[in-house]
Formats: sequence, C-alpha cells, structure tokens
Amino acid sequence: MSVAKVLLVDDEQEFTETLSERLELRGLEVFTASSGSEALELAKKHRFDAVVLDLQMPGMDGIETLRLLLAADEDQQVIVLTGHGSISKSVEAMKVGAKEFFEKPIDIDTLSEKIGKAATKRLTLLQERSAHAIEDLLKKKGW
Amino acid sequence: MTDRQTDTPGRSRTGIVFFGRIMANVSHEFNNVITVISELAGLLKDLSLMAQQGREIQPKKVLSISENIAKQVARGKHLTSHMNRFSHSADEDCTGVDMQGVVENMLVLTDRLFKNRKSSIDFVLPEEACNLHTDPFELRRILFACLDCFLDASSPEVSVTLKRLDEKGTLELCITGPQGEVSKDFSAQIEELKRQTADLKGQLIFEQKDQQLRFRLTLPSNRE
Repeated sequence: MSVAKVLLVDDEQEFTETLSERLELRGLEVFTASSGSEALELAKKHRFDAVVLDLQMPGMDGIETLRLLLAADEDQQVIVLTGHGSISKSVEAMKVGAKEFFEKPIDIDTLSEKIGKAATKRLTLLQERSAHAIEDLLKKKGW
Repeated sequence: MTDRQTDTPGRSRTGIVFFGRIMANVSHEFNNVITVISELAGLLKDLSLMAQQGREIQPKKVLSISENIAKQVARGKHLTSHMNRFSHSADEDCTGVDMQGVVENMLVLTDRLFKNRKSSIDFVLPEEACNLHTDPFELRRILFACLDCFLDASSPEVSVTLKRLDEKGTLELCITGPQGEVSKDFSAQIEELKRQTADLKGQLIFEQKDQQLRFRLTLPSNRE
C-alpha cells in the first residue's frame, strides 16, 4: 500500500511545521497550507487521503474551506482540528461534511489513527466508485 | 476609586460583551502557543525514542527545538502581560492613562480578530507622551468599537493616526480608509458610538468624502 498523503491547513506555521515533521516520522507524506485558498490550490494538484483543517484562519475561514474542498471532491476526508471548538461550530462543521472534530492540542497517536482510518475510508469509497463505474459501463455496452 | 456597580445594566452588559470578545480571542492565541509547545515537546519525545533505538540525533536539531520552545514561551509571556494590563484597566473608573500604551495593548489583544477579517491596520503614533485622565476600560472599549465599526464599512486597509491637538492635551485619533460596503445599521452604530464617546467627554465625528471614510475621535486630557 502506498504512503498516505495528508494536507495540514493552519495559519500557525510553527504548528504545521512541527506536526508535519512528527507525522512524516510516522511514515506519512505531508503537505502544508497556511490559508484556505492555498489548501484549495494544493487540493487541485494532489489527491489527499486526508485533510487536517483549522477553523479560524485569516481570510477564508475553515468552514468555507471545508465546503469548497468537498464541492471539489465529495469523498475528501476532512478532520477538523481547531483551537476552541464551540458546540455550534463542531455541529456546523459536521453538517457541512467533516468526518472528525478535535480540539488542539491533540495526541499524535490519536491523530495518526484518525488519518489512517480516513485514508482507508477514502480508498474504499474510490474502489466502490470504480466498481460502480465498471458496472455502468458493462450495462451500457450490453456485455 | 469609583464603584463600577453604579453602571447601568445596559452599560455593564456592553462592557462584559467587550471583555468576553477580547478574552475569547486571547485564550485562542494562548491555545495556539500551548499547542505549538505541545508539538515541540512531542517531537523531542519522538527523537528521544529514536535515539534509544540507535538512531543518531543531531544536536543542532535539539537546539533548534529548544529555541522554538523559548520563542513560544516569550510569545505566551507577552500575551499574559497584555492580558493582565487589560484586566486591570477595569479596576478604576478614572485614572491617568498613557494612550500609546492603551493602543499597543489593544493591538496585541485584537491582532487575530482583525487578521481574521484580513484587515491591515497601519498605526502612526506620536513620539511624545499622550497622557489622559479618563476611564481606562471604557477608553479601550470605545477604541475597539470604533475600529470594529469602521472596518465593517471600509475596505480592509485602514490607517490610524494619533496626535495631540492642543496645549491642553486634547488627543485626536483618526481612522481613515477607503469606503467598502456599508451595512444598513451603520448609521445607528455611529450614533451609539457618539453617545458612548460623550460619556468620556469626548467627541466622535464621522466624515465621508470621495469614497473615503474617516472617524475623528477627540478626547479631552481630563474627563472630569
């Protein structure tokens, strides 16, 4: 199995640098973005197995970034990791389509496990889609 | 020292809302500091575990982590001292305040709030001391409310200039910037700000010309 590819989105550069180093030590391939718009640009170029997203960022906030990431790829697995997650914000993020919601700081083993699960889920979804696409093709062609 | 319980319920509520906004913002910043330190500590642990397994660890790397921790501690200390100064501003109803210090205090505590709005605020402060005898908490609240209201109606790049107007020590704080999208309750907000400024014996003038907005906040050297 290939290495899971993760995107960390947070305007705290020191945080993303250190966390990415720790995740890389655990065998993940990590990209970082310091804003929502940078994250969307990276998501156009790469297929990420999981996105770890902060909510409070200058400019485009996390909820809007989440919306646009999912609009571009509905299977995108997004884990929200934020400073002070109010209940209303966590409900909003989950309604928009986040898969998990955590408050900072997070235990690295918990985050790694959630990223692993997100990557597996994404792979399963992609495989299901491929299987459906093949079925449709077979039906259309009458084979 | 005057007892703040003499405040009207409405005024107390406005003060509490302001205090809450500032504290929520600063606690968020604190959490960021703690999170970075937590990750750096975690990285040190990872490296120690790797060293136990025989992997070579570069002293330079450990030194860099240690320096980053020290940087975050300094950032936390800076925030604490400003938070403390802010909290004590509610101690007295009327006392001597250094306006530059008040502006700096509010800038540190609201930095993220305004950055989240993509605002860039250029401050021009005079070198000479600008001292006032006024309510330090209300002064901060009105400063914040003026900036908050102004940014709602202007484009994000604004400039703030503080200067002494006369020999009596009257101060003028000018907020200027290009006009943005003005909300329908903007006029009502300005009227409320004018009323609140008058409580400090000050005056707020709003000017709108050639797509430029300007708030001129004048404050007497002594409120009493």
